[in-house]
Amino acid sequence: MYGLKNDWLYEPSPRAFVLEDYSGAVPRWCPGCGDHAVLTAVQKLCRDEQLKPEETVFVSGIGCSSRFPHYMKTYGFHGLHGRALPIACGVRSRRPDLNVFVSTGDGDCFSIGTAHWIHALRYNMKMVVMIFDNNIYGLTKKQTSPTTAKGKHSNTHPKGTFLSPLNPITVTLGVGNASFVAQTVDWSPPHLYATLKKAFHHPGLSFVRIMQRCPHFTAEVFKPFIEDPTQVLLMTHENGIQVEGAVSRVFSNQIVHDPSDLNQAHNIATNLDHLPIGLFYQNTEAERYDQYTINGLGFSDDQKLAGLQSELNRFSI
Amino acid sequence: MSSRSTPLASAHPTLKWPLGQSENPGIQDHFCFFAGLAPDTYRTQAWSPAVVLSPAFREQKRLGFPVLIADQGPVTSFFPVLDSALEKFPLLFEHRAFIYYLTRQALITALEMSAEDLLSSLSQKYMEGADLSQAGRSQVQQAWSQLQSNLPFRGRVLGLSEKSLRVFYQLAHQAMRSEEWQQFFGRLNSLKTDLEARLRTHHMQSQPSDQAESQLGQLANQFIQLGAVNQKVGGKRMGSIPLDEHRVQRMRTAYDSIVNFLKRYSANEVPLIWVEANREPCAEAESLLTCAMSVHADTAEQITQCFKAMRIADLELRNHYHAELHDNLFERFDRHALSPNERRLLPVTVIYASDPEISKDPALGDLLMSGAPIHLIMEQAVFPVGEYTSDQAYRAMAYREAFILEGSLADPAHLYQGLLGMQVQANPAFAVVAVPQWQSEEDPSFQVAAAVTARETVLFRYNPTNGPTFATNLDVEGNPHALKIHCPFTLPVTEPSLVCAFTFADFAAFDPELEHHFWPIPRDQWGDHQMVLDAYFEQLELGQPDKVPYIWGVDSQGELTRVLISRKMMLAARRRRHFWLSLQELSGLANAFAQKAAELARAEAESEAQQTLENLLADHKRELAQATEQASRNAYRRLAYSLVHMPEPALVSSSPALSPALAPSAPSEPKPPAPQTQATAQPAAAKPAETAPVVPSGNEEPYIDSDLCTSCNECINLNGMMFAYNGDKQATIADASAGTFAQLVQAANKCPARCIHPGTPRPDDATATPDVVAQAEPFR
Ligand SMILES: Cc1ncc(C[n+]2csc(CCOP(=O)(O)OP(=O)(O)O)c2C)c(N)n1
Ligand code: SF4
Ligand code: SF4
Ligand SMILES: [Mg+2]
Repeated sequence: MYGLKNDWLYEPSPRAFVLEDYSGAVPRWCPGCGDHAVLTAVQKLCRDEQLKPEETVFVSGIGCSSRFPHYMKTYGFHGLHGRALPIACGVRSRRPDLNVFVSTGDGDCFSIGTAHWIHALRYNMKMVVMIFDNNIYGLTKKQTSPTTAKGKHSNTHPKGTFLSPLNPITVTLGVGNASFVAQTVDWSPPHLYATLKKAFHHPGLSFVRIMQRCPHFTAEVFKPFIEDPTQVLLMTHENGIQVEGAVSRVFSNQIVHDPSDLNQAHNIATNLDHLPIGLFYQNTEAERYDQYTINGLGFSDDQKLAGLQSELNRFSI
Repeated sequence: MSSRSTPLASAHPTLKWPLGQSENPGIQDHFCFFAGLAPDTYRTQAWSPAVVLSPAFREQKRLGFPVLIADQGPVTSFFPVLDSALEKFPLLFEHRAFIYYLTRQALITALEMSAEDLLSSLSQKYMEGADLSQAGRSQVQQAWSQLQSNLPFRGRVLGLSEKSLRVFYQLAHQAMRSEEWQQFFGRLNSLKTDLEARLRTHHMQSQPSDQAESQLGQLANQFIQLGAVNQKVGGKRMGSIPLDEHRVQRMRTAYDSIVNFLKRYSANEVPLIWVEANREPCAEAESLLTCAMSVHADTAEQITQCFKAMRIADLELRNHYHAELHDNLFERFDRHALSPNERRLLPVTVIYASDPEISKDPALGDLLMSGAPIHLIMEQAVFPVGEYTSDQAYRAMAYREAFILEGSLADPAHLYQGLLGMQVQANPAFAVVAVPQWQSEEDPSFQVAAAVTARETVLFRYNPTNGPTFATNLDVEGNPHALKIHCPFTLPVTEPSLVCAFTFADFAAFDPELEHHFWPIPRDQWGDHQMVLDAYFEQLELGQPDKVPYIWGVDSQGELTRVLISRKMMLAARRRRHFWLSLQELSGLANAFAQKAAELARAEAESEAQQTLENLLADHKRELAQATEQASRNAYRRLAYSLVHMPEPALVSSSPALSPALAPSAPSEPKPPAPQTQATAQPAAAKPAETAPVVPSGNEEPYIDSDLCTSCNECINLNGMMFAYNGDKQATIADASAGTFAQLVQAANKCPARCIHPGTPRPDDATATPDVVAQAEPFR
């Protein structure tokens, strides 16, 4: 008789999601690349929140890090260079029921996508924006990005870059309506996870800059921080990112920072002696554009037509 | 209706009423009142079953075919739908009879057509056939094209013919299965592409550079140096995990199997295997059903191979194939291991067989219990009526494993629903479908409709996947007047009009071959000892009635006449009645136990109510008596007082019957306070002293601080046996003995999270040179 050997079914019950339910294609990032760590943390987040894959979407631009959507077994939109944010805002505008994540690189977001970055922050639509900052253009093989350190030899600056890097955190804090600004590192899985989790629950756009190792092109950049964790400054506060004892023991250099204190956030971000991680700023009350763009979602075609007619009728003579 | 033309033996002199069977041992089968005569001579004048006088009954002939099977929706009669579309075009509406005719003609040749095609063929035939003036022509043409361009209905139109059932089945099959099948193909194609990509990557990685160069040829060589590219790219294995030869072999085999399957079947045609007696592949088979099962097993095995390939491919592509676990599983993989979803994709084997072919086949039970997607379809002609119905569907239900449908062409909507229901099953299904006798003079739609009304055909669906009992699984919806035992019909010939029950006997009366079971009773012979059949049954259920049963007929003058039926006919009708009663009960429509319980409960409630009423009355009486007595006592007292104290004013008494002032209830004794048990705080059990892990010095096991692992693949790529991810996708030491100490140290060095701790080397590990041991030191 059929169907007796049910132990054969290796599919788990379709509505309880395990890690594998979120793993898409086999990642093609280099071994040792920090992107793997973020992928794992995000998959764990999805599993722990039991996000329905069909109600979750990852939007990206172009870059190594922007290959992220391929590796998630959810919906994905691998967009154009620099255009992850406008696409994500579009998705969010009309599909407020979806969980929207954005993965974008330092080149993608801070260089070609700058305009979108600023405006997306101002729009403050609910989504998690992960910036994979490896201080380089990885995919196109080592060109200077806005966060590349001064003097670094790259294919665009073979003799070393001229300018000091841009500080994305101070820029972000400077945009009036920015409502969640955090920084974390890929090599501390618990901190990375806790940051993403906090970001996921934020009611607005959460900007998470992830310091990401690129062993291929910028291996030396984060080495000092990995080898000497005291160079990292851990921001702690009851309203900040909550991490367990182990993490706080590793990052012994700490500062208590209240995420509602914008001034102190500026000060910490400006001081380049340390690499600060944790939550710089959070404001759960900030205005949100997506609360307006969803207007009329339930309208039928007839209702829309009627609305249009009545608008047009106002101009009748 | 054939007329019964046997000479009339009217007013026979020796007529006697009634004669019990015992008095007529020679003709036991008849409720015979013409004693002493051979049954044949009882035939009187020509008559017809009375139901032909009922307008409603004649209406029901017109139900049904042709039908429209709407794209997203129900099955409806096509002509009413067509009518409402034609109404907007008076020119066409006027000639709708002609259009009906054309429709039937079109459907005789085509069996079924899409509504669009049908309309375009109708318009063409109409234009050819209609005799129209030039002006009329263009107007009609215009009406047709308007109708066609915004057709208010879509779907397939199906006519009534010998092929209807098959076409119906095929449409249901296509409708329910094609989407799943196409998705399945989509999945196969994507697996194929993924496998190709994976194998291609592997090929590029493993290709020795000079070979690749020679393949590309001299020309390409001028532009790129593959050797150099390979050294740079291949040597570092950009990103993807390399494949070993076993994996490559497995993927190739899976790939071939999938490609073969794709070649063999088409995405647009869901495979369906028809099996019939005297046709290949079961022409010679002794048992048609056994043969069908083995045909199914063969195809299922082929597809199972494909499913197996898919699973292997899926696991491999996700790097989840673990040889030690899966090799064994896949070795034993056969069609019994398919998941319900996969089973639903197995091609359906359809057996088309007649009643005798199925009744005689000993394998019916095996088939119904086989769990295989085999559909058995049996046509059952309702004419000639015959004296006994095999009730195959009912019997098959007893196995309680297969989906069972008893349907009829009389109710295409019910039938289509049932056929759709069969398609959802991954299990066997058995459909018994009532069809007319095509050669008969009776109108085919009437034949099947009358059979349903008489409960000769009982519409039902039995779905074993619904639940454990008949009440959950059996659905008799669709039967006319399902709450009644017999369907009523009204005869407008008397005042008030006569309501009769349409029993099996009334139905059988249409069959000329059964005419020897009926005898019209001359009007002057009617009497109290005769009883109409359904009332007779009710009497019979209470005890043996000393009456003879009749049904109503009409004679050639259109007058109502009683028609006596044979005992055999009565028994046959009773059998059908009981069949319906059982189904009513099984489906939960009318359950004798429930009814009894309800009656009991009602009786109890009533007697309780009665009791309460009686008590109330008694109380009332008592109180009344008390009050009367008190009043008279007061009156006497007042009288006596006024007599004594005249002329003092009369005493106003307060009735003692009035309720006494409520005595303030005694304050309840305060409870003594519960003894305050002073809970003595138990000192927390002393924590066991924190013992430092006992590690024998010089023998530290390697370990990974998995919480810190960033899942970067470095260690896994180095040695996939020694390191493995845990359920959180963080690395652990899977098997320290699967690699060398040197490898452990190498991994620790490479690990960006610095979470690999190599421990100390095993004594027999030759790779543990002093240099390596020194490297391991910082990680301890
Ligand atoms: C409009 C456009 N300009 C340039 C490019 C080339 N390009 C592809 S990826 C990339 C930089 C990606 O850098 P980053 O966003 O930091 O991603 P990473 O690879 O470092 O993760 C550039 C310039 C492009 N694809 N499209
Ligand atoms: S180039 Fe850098 S960023 Fe891109 S995959 Fe490789 S290590 Fe990661
Ligand atoms: S090398 Fe380290 S971080 Fe990478 S997978 Fe292995 S244990 Fe994890
Ligand atoms: Mg980058």
